[in-house]
Amino acid sequence: MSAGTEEGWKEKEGGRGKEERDVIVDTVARVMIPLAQLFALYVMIGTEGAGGGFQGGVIFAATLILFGTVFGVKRGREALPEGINAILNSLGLYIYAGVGILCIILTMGAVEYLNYGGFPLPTEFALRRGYLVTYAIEVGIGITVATVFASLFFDLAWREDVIESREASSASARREADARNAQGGE
Amino acid sequence: MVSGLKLLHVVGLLTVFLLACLFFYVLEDVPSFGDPHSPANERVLLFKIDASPQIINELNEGVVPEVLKSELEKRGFYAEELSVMHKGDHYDIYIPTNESEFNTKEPEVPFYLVVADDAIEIYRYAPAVRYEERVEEECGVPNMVTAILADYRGYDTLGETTVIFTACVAVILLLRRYGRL
Repeated sequence: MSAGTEEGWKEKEGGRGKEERDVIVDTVARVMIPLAQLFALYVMIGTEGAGGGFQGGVIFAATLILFGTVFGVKRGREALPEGINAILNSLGLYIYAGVGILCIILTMGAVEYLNYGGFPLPTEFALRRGYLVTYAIEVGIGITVATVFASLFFDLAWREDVIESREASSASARREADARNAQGGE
Repeated sequence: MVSGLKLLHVVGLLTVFLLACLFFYVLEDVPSFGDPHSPANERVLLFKIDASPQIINELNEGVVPEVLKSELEKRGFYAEELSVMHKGDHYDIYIPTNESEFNTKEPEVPFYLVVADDAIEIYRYAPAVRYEERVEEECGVPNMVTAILADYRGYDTLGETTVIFTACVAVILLLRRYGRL
């Protein structure tokens, strides 16, 4: 039984091995995470019930945080890498602001910023507003909020030995790159 | 086992149960969107002026009296193009909307409300009333909160999202110890 031993910790780098996790926690997380993500999408996009982009995004972020707590921060980071997280962070805001600008561009300046009714979709005025609010604005808010809260969690949840090993490897890589640049310069 | 219970625990538990009972008792009387007859949900009194037969005649003919216009203008309200309609016990004053080019439905919404009794009282329709009445017709979204947040108050929500994004960028800059960015 490797639980709690020194090798067990080092091997997993902040995550817990399968035999270390409680079977209840493991099963509940496996069952609940997809369902909760589906529910998050319903809260985000479904217009019949209560909710909206902020609430749906926070529920989605909660599933990511649950994944990180149960399966380990490292596996969580593998599922949602930092680069993709940073891109998605700004993508949601870009969608929101971009729809507003597209409203101006596509109507040649006939409507003002964020007036979704002018967007040239083949439906009525009110329905155009509804479609854009539901499928563009709310989804944009949701993407931003979900990745922001996941990013808060994953940036706060680091362990020093993991960081040190990563910093050491990146420092050695930087040294090699510097050496290569110096050679190329000469 | 029972000896572990202290008086404080029992009192706390009973308080919780009592509060829960009180909540369920009150729950039936709580309207879904606040008190529908509260002034904020119905109308907001702007000012009163003295009634005169001439003003009431003009209102009945569908003309906005000059006195009323000048009073509105003095208080900083919109008073340029207005039209009146007699609705039973009160008069609705309309403002033509600027978006009539794209709006295929009736292009006017009631904005002021005039009650002519002993004195003439000018009210303004509260925005909450207008949202509740016309949100589906104007926005095509059955959820009022979504429509108000993302459509009527779009700039506000854009600002909120920007605030959250900025907070995340600050956290990344301060706390991220490895990786790119």
